[in-house]
Amino acid sequence: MSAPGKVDVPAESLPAETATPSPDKDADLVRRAQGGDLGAYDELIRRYQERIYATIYHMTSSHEDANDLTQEALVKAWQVLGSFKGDSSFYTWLYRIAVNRTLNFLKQRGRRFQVSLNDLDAKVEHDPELVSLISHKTPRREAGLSELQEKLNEAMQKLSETHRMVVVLHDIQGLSHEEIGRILGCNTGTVRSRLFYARQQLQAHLSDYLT
Amino acid sequence: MNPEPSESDFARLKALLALKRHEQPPPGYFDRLPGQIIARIEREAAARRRPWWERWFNAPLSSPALGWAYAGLAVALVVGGGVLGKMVRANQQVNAVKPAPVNAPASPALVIADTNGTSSPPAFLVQPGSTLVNTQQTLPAGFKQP
Repeated sequence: MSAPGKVDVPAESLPAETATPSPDKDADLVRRAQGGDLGAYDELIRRYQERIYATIYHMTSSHEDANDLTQEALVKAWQVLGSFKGDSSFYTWLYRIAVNRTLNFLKQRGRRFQVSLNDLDAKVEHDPELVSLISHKTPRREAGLSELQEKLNEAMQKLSETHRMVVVLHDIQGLSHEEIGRILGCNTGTVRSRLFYARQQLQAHLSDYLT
Repeated sequence: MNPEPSESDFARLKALLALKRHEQPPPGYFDRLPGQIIARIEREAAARRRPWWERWFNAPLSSPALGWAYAGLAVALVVGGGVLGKMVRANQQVNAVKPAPVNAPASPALVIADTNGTSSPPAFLVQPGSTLVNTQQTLPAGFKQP
């Protein structure tokens, strides 16, 4: 049961890659990578590449931009790996690099509207939440997945970068408020208020599909 | 009109946001990505080991923006060189037509160049007591008695 004022994403609905990896295994790999072991860093990349890519992709709505930024973030992380002291978990530290790089990129790009239209994977048709959403009695019950995807992306792009980032990290990536606060360098109250405001905005933009 | 969103509304919104999790990059992308990143790291490490002039020459190959910057610099140097050359030529022409200074000798005949190429005034002008007429060689005027 969810606590009042908070809606938790059911664990089973999260993608496999969002399960938090073991910090102990990370610590060993990080130590070896700090010693110049590229094999260990390759293993760290394999652990986090999907999460980093997905975060950047949902922010930029472009596979090409997400690919460039993911590579840049992971190369940069290698270059500054010596400065990682273990004060936070490795993936929080890595996320911070990726998130800062993405926010800087979006500021430079300006508010150019871009809608992602990547193909959905085959599993989507079996996602119980989505099946229920589409078959629910709504004014737009005839809306197909691609239309929903398009409208959702349009609504996401209307949010400011900081509000979109919170939605991506919490509602799509499944990170906790505390983790998001550490990544973005703000307190959990700020994270919660940004999330609430962003959801309200999305709610307003997508009212036809949600009521 | 937007009524205050309820928790169930947010729940449906979150279900809709779950759709984003099914957006995937091209097949095989995550198999290739680590190799591309490691190759990039090795390339950049090798580039840092190269001498500065080699990096400077190769930089435009890796960055189109830097290539354009180098091209712009080359054009600026050529144009700047041309302008500077024109200015130097114009200056030389101005010097060539400039009138002689006021304190220069009136006639070049009065300036005698010695073997070193330096000019000095005639000896009779600087020797004290010298005159234009050599008195020792001048006979006194008189009438010869037959």
